[in-house]
Amino acid sequence: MRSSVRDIAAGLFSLFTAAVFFCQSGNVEGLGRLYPRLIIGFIALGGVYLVGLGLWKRISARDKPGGEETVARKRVAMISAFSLSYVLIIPLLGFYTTSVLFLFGSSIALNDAAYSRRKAALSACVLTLVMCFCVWAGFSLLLHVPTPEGIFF
Amino acid sequence: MSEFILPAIGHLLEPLNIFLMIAGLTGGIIIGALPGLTATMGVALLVPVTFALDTTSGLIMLGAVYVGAIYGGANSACLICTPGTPSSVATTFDGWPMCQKGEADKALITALLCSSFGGIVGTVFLLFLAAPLARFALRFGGPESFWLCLFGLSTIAVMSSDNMVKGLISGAIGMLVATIGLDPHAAAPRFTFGYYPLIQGVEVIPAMIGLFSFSQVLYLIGSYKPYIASYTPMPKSLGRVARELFATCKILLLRSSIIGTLVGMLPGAGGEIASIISYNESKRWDKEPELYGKGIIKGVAASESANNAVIGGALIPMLTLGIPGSAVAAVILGALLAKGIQPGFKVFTVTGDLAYTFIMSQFAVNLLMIPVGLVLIKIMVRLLSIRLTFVAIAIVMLSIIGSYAIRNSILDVWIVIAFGFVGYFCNLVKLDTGAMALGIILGPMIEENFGKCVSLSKAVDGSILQVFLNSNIAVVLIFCTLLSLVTPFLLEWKRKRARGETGGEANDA
Repeated sequence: MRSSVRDIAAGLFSLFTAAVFFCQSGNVEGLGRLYPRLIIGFIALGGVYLVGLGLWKRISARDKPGGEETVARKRVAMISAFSLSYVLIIPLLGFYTTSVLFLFGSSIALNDAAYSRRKAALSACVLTLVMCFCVWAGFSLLLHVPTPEGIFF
Repeated sequence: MSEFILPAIGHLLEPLNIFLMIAGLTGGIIIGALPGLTATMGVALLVPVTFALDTTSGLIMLGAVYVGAIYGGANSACLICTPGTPSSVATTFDGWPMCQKGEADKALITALLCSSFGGIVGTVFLLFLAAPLARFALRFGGPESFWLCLFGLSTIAVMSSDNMVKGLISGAIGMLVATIGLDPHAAAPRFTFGYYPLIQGVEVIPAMIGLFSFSQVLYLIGSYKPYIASYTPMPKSLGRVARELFATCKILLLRSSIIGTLVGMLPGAGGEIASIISYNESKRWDKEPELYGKGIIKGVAASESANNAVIGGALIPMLTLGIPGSAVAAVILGALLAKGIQPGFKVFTVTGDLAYTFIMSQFAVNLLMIPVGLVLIKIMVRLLSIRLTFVAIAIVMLSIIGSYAIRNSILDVWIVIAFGFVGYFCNLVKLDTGAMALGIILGPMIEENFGKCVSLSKAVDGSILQVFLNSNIAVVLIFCTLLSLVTPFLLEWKRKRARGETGGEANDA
């Protein structure tokens, strides 16, 4: 990502955050409103500065090319989707049942080329068993920390 | 005092107490290393166990868990860029880059030795200077605490000196996020976006797990790397690291430990503030500040010695005044009260046997932590030989159960996911997630103390400025904050001057 694009994106993110919080600040009064509004103002000013800086870099040809490594976008999208589904399903099925599905499913789906299908399935089983047992022993058995419950457990 | 020391050492040599120290340390380190499980939670969970023990042994075990958990956070901070406890946020700044450079064992041993050193310095203060330091801590009111937090926040300027604007904006976003929940002044809901559970506010630990851990999962999964980092064990690593620390970090360790102890004494200010201030001070006074954040042992040493020194500091007001300096100290205070022991200066005379055994156990625990920690490091470092995909998936599961465990709320799990995406995006556009974390940690304290100052100014019919400048401590802290803010400019000026001199010499040649 070029440095101008980075600055513009960071600036727009700041402006978006400031705008969202500003819209919500109407129902608060007194000191509880003054303090966040000061911060919102600061973020908005910073956002405008960053967008301006990014545009200026583009116009004045002072842009620096981004020399970053390539990203496996498909894998990032997959782990994001798996994680979101995991959190969504936990209250329905329960923590351990969903964890088994998540650990096994994502291990198989994100399996890299180094492992054959059979080996990947075996590794996924081992990971699922080891993690579920460790979390159950550590959190539930030893520390008595409750886990989210659902239809199952 | 001297009449209690020898019997105290005698108590510590009892086999049961030695076992409890080792067990407490091991449990504490594991709890600290697991994201979401904090020192407070670990100590609180073990309080019922102490009822089955005599008071001295119970206290020794709680102290060991406390020390182990604060150090334990460094392990996950270095190995998977996830601060196990909020105190180890600053450890990730250099510990994680060291791990990525293949120096995981060096980073972990540095954290271990420095934690032990910091803990011992904090205990020395607890043993010899408890009374005067407790009186000093009592002089910290709203204005002093406000400026202390601002001083902590000003570290962003040094932390993100290569892009200060982005650092400051990130810090401000963190502070804004910290305002979600109940308005501390009017107790009215604020920024809940119509979603009622948000009234609980954004808990610090899930936000940290999201910003540092889940975002790293996304980065690592997309990086085509087979393992988290390459790792070649360094032969005789303990001796090498100890020699390097002794040669290069003597003053740094002492300074950071003293900062940690002093910050630890202040109610509300804990290891997270101490480690960040120490990290900042080390960077400011170093001849090569540009190396910080790229994986040097000085960064890990500053953070870890400070956060473990906090323990001794936090125990000072707890034992002498009955005012806990941290959440964990509050839990230990509760255990003491449950046993019928009333903290105060009398604790050193009437129950001197107990008090000095506990203090001496802190020395023993910090020394024992080195062999116990070394064994656990050898086990934990094997994480680096597991394929990255499996580690990443396991981190997601641990992040989720760890965040849920804090308040038994699914909201915290969503906070992890949301901050994970925010952290990933911020890393892409070079917004500073460390500064954002700092804003989330310090934001509530700044707002609360700002509110106290405003109320105080109304009560005395004076201006807020008058309240801010009323005490010498506040003036010193204001000066330190200003110094911190101009430091990047001073460093840049120094660098330019040095470059100019080198250039001049080259031209002369």
